[in-house]
Amino acid sequence: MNTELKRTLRKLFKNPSAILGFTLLIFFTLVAIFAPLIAPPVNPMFPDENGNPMKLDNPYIMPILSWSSDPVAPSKDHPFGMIAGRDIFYGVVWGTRTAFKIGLIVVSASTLIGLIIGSIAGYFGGWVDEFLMRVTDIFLSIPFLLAAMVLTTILGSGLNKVMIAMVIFGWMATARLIRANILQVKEEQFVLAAKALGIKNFIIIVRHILPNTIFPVLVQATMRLGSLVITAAALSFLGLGAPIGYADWGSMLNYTRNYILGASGQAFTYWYTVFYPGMAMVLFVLAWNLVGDALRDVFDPKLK
Amino acid sequence: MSEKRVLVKVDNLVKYFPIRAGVFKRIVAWVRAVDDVSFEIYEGETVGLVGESGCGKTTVGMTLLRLYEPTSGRIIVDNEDTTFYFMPKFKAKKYLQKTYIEKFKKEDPSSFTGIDKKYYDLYKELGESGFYNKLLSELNEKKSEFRKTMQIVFQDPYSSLNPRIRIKTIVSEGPVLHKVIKKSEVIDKVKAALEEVGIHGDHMYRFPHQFSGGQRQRIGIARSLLMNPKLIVADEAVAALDVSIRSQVINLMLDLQKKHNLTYLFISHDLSVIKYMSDRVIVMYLGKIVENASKKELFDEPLHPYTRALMSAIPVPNPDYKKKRIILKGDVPSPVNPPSGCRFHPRCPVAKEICSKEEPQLREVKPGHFVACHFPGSLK
Repeated sequence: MNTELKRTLRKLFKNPSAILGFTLLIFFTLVAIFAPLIAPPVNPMFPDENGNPMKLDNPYIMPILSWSSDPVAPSKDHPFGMIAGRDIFYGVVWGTRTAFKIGLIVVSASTLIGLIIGSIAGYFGGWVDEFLMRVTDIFLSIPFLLAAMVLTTILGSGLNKVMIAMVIFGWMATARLIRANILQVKEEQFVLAAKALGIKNFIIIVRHILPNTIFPVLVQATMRLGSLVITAAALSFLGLGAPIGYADWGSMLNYTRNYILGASGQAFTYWYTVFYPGMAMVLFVLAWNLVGDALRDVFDPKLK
Repeated sequence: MSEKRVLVKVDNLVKYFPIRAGVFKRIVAWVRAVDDVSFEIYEGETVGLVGESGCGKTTVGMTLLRLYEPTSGRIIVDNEDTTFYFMPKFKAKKYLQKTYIEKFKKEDPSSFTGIDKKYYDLYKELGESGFYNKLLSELNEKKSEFRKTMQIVFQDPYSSLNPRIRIKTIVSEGPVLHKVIKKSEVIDKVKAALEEVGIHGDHMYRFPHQFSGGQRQRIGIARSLLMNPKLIVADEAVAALDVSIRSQVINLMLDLQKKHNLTYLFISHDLSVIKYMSDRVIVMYLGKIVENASKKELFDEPLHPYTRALMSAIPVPNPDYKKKRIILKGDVPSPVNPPSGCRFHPRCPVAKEICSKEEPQLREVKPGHFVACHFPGSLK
């Protein structure tokens, strides 16, 4: 196994796009971890009695630094500029944490649901399969944005509610993928051998079937991690997601709605309002896609 | 084989697979893979099961091990009816009622033999509900016992071992579950089992892809062996191996048989392997047994025209030897729509009118030699 692992790693690091993907990912991880150092969660507008800036109760709510809501061009104090009285740099840095939070939680929850439903459908077959797959079809037939909007209307808005909506409408692809793979593997003779040994169904699924079917799901989950951030941003842009002022790339783009076209005759006057949060998002999605591609190359036995 | 004890008795085994079509997955037809098959396997013998592809021989093996649920019929192992072990409880009860209680109420008790007699005594002693309770109790233990009694060796050594777990786990998983070996003695026992089949004991920490086809087949045998079974179903166990490895594995299986007093059901399409291994041979055609005889009888004097045709197709390693071959016309008919009467009649060179009308029963023409043919031995 060790030699195989070494070979895999060597292969991974010979691939330039994989290196780029992992580098970006490590960069974002570091930014997320060290966010309190990079952009201290304080508001200099309100110094306390010792003259130190006030500590924020919730670091994810961007502090309001100016009462003017017009964009302010990048300067030494605010390297990415300001919008709606908030520092874009602060929002981008803390937004990294939000992006990871949304991506990881939604992907792991929806993948888990998809795994369970897909495994049961694929392994037991028959009417169980028929029922679960029709349920999957029903979920797939509902347009996602519409469903998310309806659901957030019912549950109330907020980042958690958006995440719940994304989990509820995000497991179907995984379920179908794992079911198709299980249908293939369950006819393999080692599964029959396990049955002949009287091994319990649950153990057969967990020990014999899933390890041989799970890699495509992991690859797909990795790729989805990035794109989910875009979906969350779309919802935030529509005003369904994070509360006002929350450090979230999508919500920050929401502020720029009035300034995207720039001033009259000068299209790029307020470029920084779109560029920095947008760039963060693009790079984040790109990182996960490249990592997903690299993992697929590594796990795909046909390319070995 | 001084005293012949029946280890497995199969009564009227039927396995149909549904063909489903349409939106509602209605059953439109049945594939009659195994259609009313009865045979016995005696302790310590090797029974060869031959037939061409699609004749149902693998289905017989799989159903015997309950990897498929039989459509109907009875599988008696070690003088215990095991048919209902894997059914849901209400179905099991229905099965017992249909198979035993109704018969006990209607028929004359003195005519019962074997398992019927045993269960009749039980019924007399415990009454009807006591009979159900007794047979349906401790089903988990009974299932476990069943798994310990019968094991299987598969055809494809590349697909029969899980590529992601170590040999040690592959081999010890079943025995530990059924408490054949204790967790603390896994390493010693696995090592011993591997060495018995000719694999270095230290290789138990390796993964399947680190072995060759023949070695993998040996590991498959070790996996079955460590369960300490009485019967091993070898489903084309050597078909995927090349000739030199094949003979090694066959000899290994014969050695193990002597050492552990194993019984084999050896499923194969290869008559020369069957001839080398078996004590008794069962020939199947299109889901039916056509002939069942001792090896010597069957190879010296096959009575069914199909068996005769099979025998004439065995290649002889002598270029000067000109043998008259019986060439059968046409193809095997589909098991979805088998021919009327004798299933072999459309291809049989000696078929008469009765063959298309009446189905021949398997009958004992000579002691221990069963044939299902209206005119046994008519094809010369």
